[in-house]
Amino acid sequence: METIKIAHLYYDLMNLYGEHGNILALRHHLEEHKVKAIIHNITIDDTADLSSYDLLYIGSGNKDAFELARQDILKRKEELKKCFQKGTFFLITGNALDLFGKSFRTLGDEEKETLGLLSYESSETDYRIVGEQVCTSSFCKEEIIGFQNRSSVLKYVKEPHLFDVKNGYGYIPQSIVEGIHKKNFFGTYLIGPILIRNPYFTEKLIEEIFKQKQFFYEEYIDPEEMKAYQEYKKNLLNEG
Amino acid sequence: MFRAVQILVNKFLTFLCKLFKKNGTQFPGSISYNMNQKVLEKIKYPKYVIGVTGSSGKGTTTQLIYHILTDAGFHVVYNASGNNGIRGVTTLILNHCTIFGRFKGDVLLLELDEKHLHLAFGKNKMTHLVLTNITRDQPARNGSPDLIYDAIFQALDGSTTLILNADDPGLMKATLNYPGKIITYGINKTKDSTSKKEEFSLDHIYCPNCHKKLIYSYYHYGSIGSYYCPNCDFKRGTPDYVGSAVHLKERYLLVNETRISLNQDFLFTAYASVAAFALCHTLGISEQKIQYALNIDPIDSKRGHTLSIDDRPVMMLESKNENALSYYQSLKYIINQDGKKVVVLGFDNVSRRYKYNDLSWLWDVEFELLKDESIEKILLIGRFKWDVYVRLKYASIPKNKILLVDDLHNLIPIIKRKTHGNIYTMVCFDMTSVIRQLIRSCENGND
Repeated sequence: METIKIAHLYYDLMNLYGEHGNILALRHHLEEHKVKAIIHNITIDDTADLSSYDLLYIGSGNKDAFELARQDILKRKEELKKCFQKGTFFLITGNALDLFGKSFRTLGDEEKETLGLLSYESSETDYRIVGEQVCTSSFCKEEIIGFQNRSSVLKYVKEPHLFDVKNGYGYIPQSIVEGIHKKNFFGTYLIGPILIRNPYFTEKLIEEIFKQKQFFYEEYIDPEEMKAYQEYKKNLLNEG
Repeated sequence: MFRAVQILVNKFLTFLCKLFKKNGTQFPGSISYNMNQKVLEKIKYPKYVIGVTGSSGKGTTTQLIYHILTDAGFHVVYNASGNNGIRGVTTLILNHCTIFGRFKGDVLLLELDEKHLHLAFGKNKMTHLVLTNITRDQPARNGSPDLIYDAIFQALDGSTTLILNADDPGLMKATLNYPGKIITYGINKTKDSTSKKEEFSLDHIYCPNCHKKLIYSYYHYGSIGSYYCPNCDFKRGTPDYVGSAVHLKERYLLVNETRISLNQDFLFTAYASVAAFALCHTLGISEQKIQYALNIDPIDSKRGHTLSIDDRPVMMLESKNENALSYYQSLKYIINQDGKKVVVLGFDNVSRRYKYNDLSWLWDVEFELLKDESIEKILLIGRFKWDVYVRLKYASIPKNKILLVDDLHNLIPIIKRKTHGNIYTMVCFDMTSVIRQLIRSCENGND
């Protein structure tokens, strides 16, 4: 049986907002494709060969958890850079996105080092950015739905964006773009969990992974996830 | 002088609300508070000003404290309406003052919203603060538990005695640097405690002092349990007031050596009872008097009103959406009841406090509990029934156990035709009253 190896990083820290659902969605969809998902939970101080994974996932966390994850992930900086260069898939949701830029500036004006895999700088805000979100994307033909609940913004982004904002906020609240998509790095402030609530997006991600792995791909749309997606659009966005 | 005007305005508006049969628990306070937001700092308070706050359980805890103190002969003023924000609290306090700002009562007891604590009082007004727990709760409003903690502690300067739940490491963090007096309470291992937990949605499992992972000897729910840090002195330890020999079905437990009755068979009621015991005993009320209030002269339960459909009992649990652990405890309660069960779940709006419909909290709730054999059918209603369906599917609940009900008016006929067993509804505020009406109409033979 074909396998995909997934590392769920900081599963016990960056675990706010039901983000574990993203891992469950990947497992479920891969099972439907008859591909076995091998999922390893990795946290601070754990030894792990990150280059051996096909996909690395990190979700949202609170301030304290973010700081613990930040200190640990810096120890894995070189390894993660290599993973990024060689085309490992990254799925990064919520404020985990703030770990990947050049720096994270706190409200106290302290500039903290982050991975520097990407060009942007993150800044903590003294307000929270909260609300429902609808986006479009060149990556996926169907609209993306989700939620935002964060207190940071990205600045000086040079990488291509992942989403165009239809309703809601961009990575800078006033901007009309959200998320980062460079090589196989997929990062977004959106929570939801995004893969549960967007079955099309999940499938596009899986299709990309299969392309790299040279696995046969045939779209699988989960009927109930699909129904939830459509009902949300019908009820809350007055569509359909 | 201006204080007197505010008090008079508050009393007059309350009078008008009563006259026109309007809800006057918030509106008068919102006007008087906006006239001068420091008004509550200018009141001459009684000897005891007690706050109760936390992510869940504060209403029940406040009610029990009120009951014990009143039974013990105190004149207690408290926010029985449950309006725990600044406007409700302002209405209550100003209505219980003379125009000279002197509070009329022996004790001011307030259930307080965590985020409104600092608005209600200056830093040295509260004599005691009971803290129930800090867990993920209404994330769209509160963000995350650490922000709730910060909001609470920015309102305190050490002059308030804390009565806190030692089973919650997120609260025990206060013992590291709170300069004032701390009294702790907790509950020992029960038959429902577990030794292992999935860690995908736990709130506080790292030591707040040295950041090593805590070691748990048991969990009650979430990260509430008995823990210690393997690297430093941070631990739950033995609380000052310990609930033990918890018998939920028989509705009693021991607090230290004193047996007290529970007016409901929920674990959170046990916590509320131990917290109320700890606070009242700290105020100098004897075990005998507390026992009398809880055992001989108990209060009625307001939660879980029982109705029936075709002689099958219906228990309506009003559960908080967006508080994963509160939701979990209600599920656990249902599972622990005898007999086969039919469970109705659903909501039309996620929250009554804000317009957002964030669904991420569904994935923090351990719906896997519903795999229990005693669950015969699960009926899903409301605008988000498909989202709940997806969650149940991921929890490996067999599809043939789940029924989707599109029209609420079909709910009772479907329950009658397609299900057996005792009925439990766990729906949000917006649907409870509609379902109750439908059941009553059915009881009256209109179905």
